[in-house]
Amino acid sequence: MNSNPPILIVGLGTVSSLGSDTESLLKHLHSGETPAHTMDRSNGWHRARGARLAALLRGPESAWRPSGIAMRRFSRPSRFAVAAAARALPGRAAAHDPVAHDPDLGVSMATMFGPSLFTQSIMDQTLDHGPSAVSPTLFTECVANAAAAQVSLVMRARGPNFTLLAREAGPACAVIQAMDLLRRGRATRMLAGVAEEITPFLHSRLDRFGALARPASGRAEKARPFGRRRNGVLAAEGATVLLMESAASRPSGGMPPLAAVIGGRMAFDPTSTRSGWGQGIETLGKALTGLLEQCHLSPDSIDLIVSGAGGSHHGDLLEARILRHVWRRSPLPPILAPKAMTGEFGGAFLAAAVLAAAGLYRGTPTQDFEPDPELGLAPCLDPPLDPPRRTLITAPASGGPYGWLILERPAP
Amino acid sequence: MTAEPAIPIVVSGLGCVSTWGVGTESLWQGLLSPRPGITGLSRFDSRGYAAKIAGECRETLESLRHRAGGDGDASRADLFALCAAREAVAQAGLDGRLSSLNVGVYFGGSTAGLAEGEGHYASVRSSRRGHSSIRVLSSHPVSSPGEVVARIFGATGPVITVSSACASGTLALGLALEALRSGEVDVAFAGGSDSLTRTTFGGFNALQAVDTRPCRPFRADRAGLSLGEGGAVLVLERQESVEARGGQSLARLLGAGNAADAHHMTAPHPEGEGALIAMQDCLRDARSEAEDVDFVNAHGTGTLLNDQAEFKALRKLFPDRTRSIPVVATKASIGHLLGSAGVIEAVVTVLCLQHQRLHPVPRGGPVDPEASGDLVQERGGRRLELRTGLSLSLGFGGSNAAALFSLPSFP
Repeated sequence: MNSNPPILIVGLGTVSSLGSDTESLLKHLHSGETPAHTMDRSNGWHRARGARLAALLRGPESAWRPSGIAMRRFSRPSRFAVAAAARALPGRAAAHDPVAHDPDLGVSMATMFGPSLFTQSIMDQTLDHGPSAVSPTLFTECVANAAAAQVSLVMRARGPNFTLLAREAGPACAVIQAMDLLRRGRATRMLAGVAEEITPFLHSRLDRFGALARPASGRAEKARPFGRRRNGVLAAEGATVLLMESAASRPSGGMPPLAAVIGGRMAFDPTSTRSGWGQGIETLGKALTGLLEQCHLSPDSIDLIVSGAGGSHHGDLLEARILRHVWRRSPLPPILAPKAMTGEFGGAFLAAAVLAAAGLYRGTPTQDFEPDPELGLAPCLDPPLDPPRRTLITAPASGGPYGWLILERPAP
Repeated sequence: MTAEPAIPIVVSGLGCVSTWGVGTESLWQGLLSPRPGITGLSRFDSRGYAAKIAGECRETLESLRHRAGGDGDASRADLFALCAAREAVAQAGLDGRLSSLNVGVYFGGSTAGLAEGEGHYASVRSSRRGHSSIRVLSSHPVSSPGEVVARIFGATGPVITVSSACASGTLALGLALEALRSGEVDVAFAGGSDSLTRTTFGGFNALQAVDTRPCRPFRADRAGLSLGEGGAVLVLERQESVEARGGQSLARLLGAGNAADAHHMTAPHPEGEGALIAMQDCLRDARSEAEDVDFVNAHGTGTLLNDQAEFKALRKLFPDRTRSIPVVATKASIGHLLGSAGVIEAVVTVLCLQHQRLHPVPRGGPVDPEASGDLVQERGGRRLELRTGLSLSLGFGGSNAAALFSLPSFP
């Protein structure tokens, strides 16, 4: 087995349209419900027949905001991230009796777009009233690392602090970086995850790039990962933050782990276009095989694949071809594709994947799935799956990046 | 920390674009000359901004495209990155050799194609039609410059962009260092690229953090920062790989460290605590002591609080050399490149080691007795026997990062 000490996931906080606790997320995942909302299209930026839906955090913020934390000037990604972090590591975020700074608690967060609304607001202020009208408050919170910074401030985390961008593979990248820092002893605990917001302008641009699922031929607007009728992803907002610890430095009597991260790898497909998908099956397959070998695993020792396929026509095709390439000598294990429910970007996928690896999310019954014969694989349609021993989480991304994580369920 | 001896990681190529144009030689000559690098802003209308100056790269888009190659959708920041990467790869002698190697790209950045995105947004907003030049947004992501470099050079390893404000570039150097030490990649491009934007200009104006005159780090009369633009790339490899192919090591990257202030969203910790932890972490990683450091390339923005906090951290790190540790502040010459500042300052740190000379920090005026070591002020710089240089970066959100370089032969 891998000689590196196991890195344990001991906490999980999530805030998305699927709920602000794991029970609510699991309920939605098992029922197959996607609480999507109609995006504001009143500004005329969207295509007439384009995407209309997004998985947004609507309703009163009090439903998910942790009590006792002032977030008055935070951007939405910062709010999501702090709420998720406070759930992942309860007890450090109390405003009234702040805990001491912890130089060994680090933060590793991913984002693809950063605080879009605040950046857009600064542009509006500049265009409407000139540069002197720009709000300093908006500016301080429009930096990409606002969420990671606010998490460090609220949790008084003085350890390493990274905001990482690798497009849709960013969450996997953030977890790998946290794993690496823990293994090197640079931190004893890491908060790792992703936070993202979806604004009408961002939604309209993603739609115009052809990235989003849209209604077509009488079929509902829906993300259909690996499905024959897939035509894009569902944009989602929210945050997921994991609390990770090294088993070697773990205090006794700590929280029981959900899973152990035993390996992770990032790679790049240089045949990709700027915002599209490439043909790098061999390159990416070699990288995934290398990860398995590094963890002293063979493909048939993976019990479950939680795929990051989101419903993109070309993206899912590339993902399927890579998986078939790596599993060409052995049957593919069951595959889950939870982005049908979680959507893309918002972090709920990371939570769903960890819960699947922990044996808590065991698949979604699906009645109307149409497999795509070109892909040669399909997600599991007939749950519940047996709890896996080892799970591969894939993180495909448009524009070239790709990530993988291997998680192991602790022995009962 | 690992117990086994550190694998030597070296810089084999440098490339950059700055206010003095394309190339490290232009940068070095510019740093040594009395010619001002921070001059009148021409990229966009400066009316309404308190500061009307910047360290602006005067190369035209056509000229950059000609030098860089790349596709027609490349943003200015993409082109800076490509120009810098081409120069660095050529110097490393890796032209035509990269396809057989596992290459990783580790970039730091803040704005990338935001300038082009601003233009797109303004046009969409005014037309209310929403179909104006959508392709320009393909270079908008902050990760774009690193990804463009990865595609052009066929990188198949990790391609990761750090966006931790002004510490991003130095944090990216640390990622590249670890990837090489662990054997994850054979060659690492550590880089960064940012262009001037209305958003950052307006934002720093709103924070009253800009000086109307060119910035004066560590001077008593300093009044804020000056923004700049450009890009830089360092090609990093294991020393044994460079020696095996008969290549030249320009410097060693001995170590990198980082820490958060967890104090305030924009203001540094008043005692420089995060900066101190980052430098100590860097020295630990480099298996070096503070007395091994021959000079510091400071973050030195020229804002009242930054320089004060930074100097407090330096004073704690060098208690016996508080007044004598030589300090340079490259931002006084080229402006503040935000997320990519740490990378171009790393290039400058290596150039100082190579030339055995510290570049001058321009502009006179008394040095703040509360905020500086031995600031290099001599015209033409200072010749010194230099073995190591520490480059420090501090950023919004309390991000702090440090990197220690040395001559290839050190220790």
